[in-house]
Amino acid sequence: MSTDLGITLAEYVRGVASGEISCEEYVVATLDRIEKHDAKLHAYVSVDADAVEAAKGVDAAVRAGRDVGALAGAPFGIKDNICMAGTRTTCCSWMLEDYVSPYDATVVDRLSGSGGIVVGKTNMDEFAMGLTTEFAAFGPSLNPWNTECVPGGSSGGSAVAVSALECIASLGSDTGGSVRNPASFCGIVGYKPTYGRLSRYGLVSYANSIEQVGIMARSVEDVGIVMNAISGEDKMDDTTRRDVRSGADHTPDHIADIDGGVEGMAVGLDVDSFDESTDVGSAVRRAADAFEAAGATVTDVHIDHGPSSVASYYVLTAAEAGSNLARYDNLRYGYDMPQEGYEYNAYISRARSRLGPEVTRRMILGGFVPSAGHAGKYYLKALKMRDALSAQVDGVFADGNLACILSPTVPVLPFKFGEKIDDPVELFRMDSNTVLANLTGRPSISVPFAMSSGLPIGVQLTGSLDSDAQLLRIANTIHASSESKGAPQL
Amino acid sequence: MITNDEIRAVAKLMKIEIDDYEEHAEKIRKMIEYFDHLDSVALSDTFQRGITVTIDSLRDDVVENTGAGADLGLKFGGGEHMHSPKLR
Repeated sequence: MSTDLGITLAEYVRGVASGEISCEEYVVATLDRIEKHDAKLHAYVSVDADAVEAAKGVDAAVRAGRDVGALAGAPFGIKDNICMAGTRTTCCSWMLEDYVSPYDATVVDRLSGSGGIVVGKTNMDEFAMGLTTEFAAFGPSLNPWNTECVPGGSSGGSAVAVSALECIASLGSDTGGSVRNPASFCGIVGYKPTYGRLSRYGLVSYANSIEQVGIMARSVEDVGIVMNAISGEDKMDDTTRRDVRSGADHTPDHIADIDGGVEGMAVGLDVDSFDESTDVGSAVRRAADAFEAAGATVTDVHIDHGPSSVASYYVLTAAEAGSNLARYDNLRYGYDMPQEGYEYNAYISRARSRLGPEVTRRMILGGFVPSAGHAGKYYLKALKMRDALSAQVDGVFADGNLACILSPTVPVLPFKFGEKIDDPVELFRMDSNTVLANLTGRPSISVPFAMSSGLPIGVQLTGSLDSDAQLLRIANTIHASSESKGAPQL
Repeated sequence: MITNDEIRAVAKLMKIEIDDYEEHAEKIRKMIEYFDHLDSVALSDTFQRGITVTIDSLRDDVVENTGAGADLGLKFGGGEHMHSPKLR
């Protein structure tokens, strides 16, 4: 009997525990599928064939009655900007083409510690700067629903891998929607937790004050299972934090109440975030109707999604990226030499010529917006805009009645390769609904809800700080009403 | 409006050599023009927000040699730093 790769992580874990599923068979089937389809889809930039040995160990442990962890040998894909000891972590840049990480990111360490098996590193826009994977140095990933369309990004490879059944779940990073955007375009669940819930230790930095590791999976419950395994404080990342709402001294349980429904809850419909005459807009309206049918009340809310919030996001991320990328001098990752004189400067210049065009542009922007004479107009104003957005969101949640905000994840359907790549402002606009959660640190999730012209449409739910478990419960409810089912036919 | 000279100056300061200068300059100019949307918002002069933490809630600023990378044959200097291979 062939292995069903389309099951959820929850079903897989139960199957392994009961002996109905062999971890080895599942992992081998996953690697076979990667071999069969990934030459075209290009979800992965490297694959670990040794995963089979790890899977054999899981089966042996099950037979011996030993604990195999909450993830029970499930095969994961990891975005290639998350470090994993002994494997290449290239950020899909020629700059780091041969960089082998000497250590595990905390999320990888915890994933492995809970029994997860990493089958490969996934494709992405170079240094996570982009939202189509067209800026990936080693070539783009293709959307499995329509290979002429982009899969979204920057965590496009992680989304394609889950959607195309080339892994059961994956990790990405979300700086301005880089997990939720590709999740929406590929018809899977993509989750960005409250800032500080997941350790960024070992995540190659892009914009430290904004980015978070995110989780992509086929169900909301699967996201909760992975959150339980990898979230929590980390002494290696001082931005990680406890659940300040509960004051708990431990990581909250993200699945205990996941089937609790939304009866009596209030959902805010972000009416300025969509045009109801479009396919995406009408899908969001139907999602609101589904919430009401499930017992929630839906009220209109107004939040500034105008160009000023997107501008604020790009100014701040460029400034932080400019600072972070200053480290990409190829010294810490390349050769050792004296740091002065013509030879050094020429070397740095040569090394930085390995950065791709979009990263180069953002580095220049990152040097410009905080510079003398321009900081007041751009950088400081962007910081104030970020404060103003946080105040707006606080205001929306202030009375404690609203459980989450509903909007489209991306305002448009997946588009074709090359359609927007030459217009940076057109690409900026794709982030209009997702950057809010990043700028304000709020948890946010994209859930596949509808299909149009054979392409998926995701709806986005954004919660208040530290409401992660409640947000997953709400998302689980709307996912149960989803008009979008199954995996793409390859 | 950012000028070509300003873009060239910033690129030089950041030690970035650009071959297809005109293409980059046009896109960078469009991006910065988009940032002018920030001018359309009335913002207060002071920052109202931020999270304050006490210094003792941060971990100690000490080097911990975890041994990471030892199995890759990388050399450690003084037990603290990892050495890259020398440029030949």
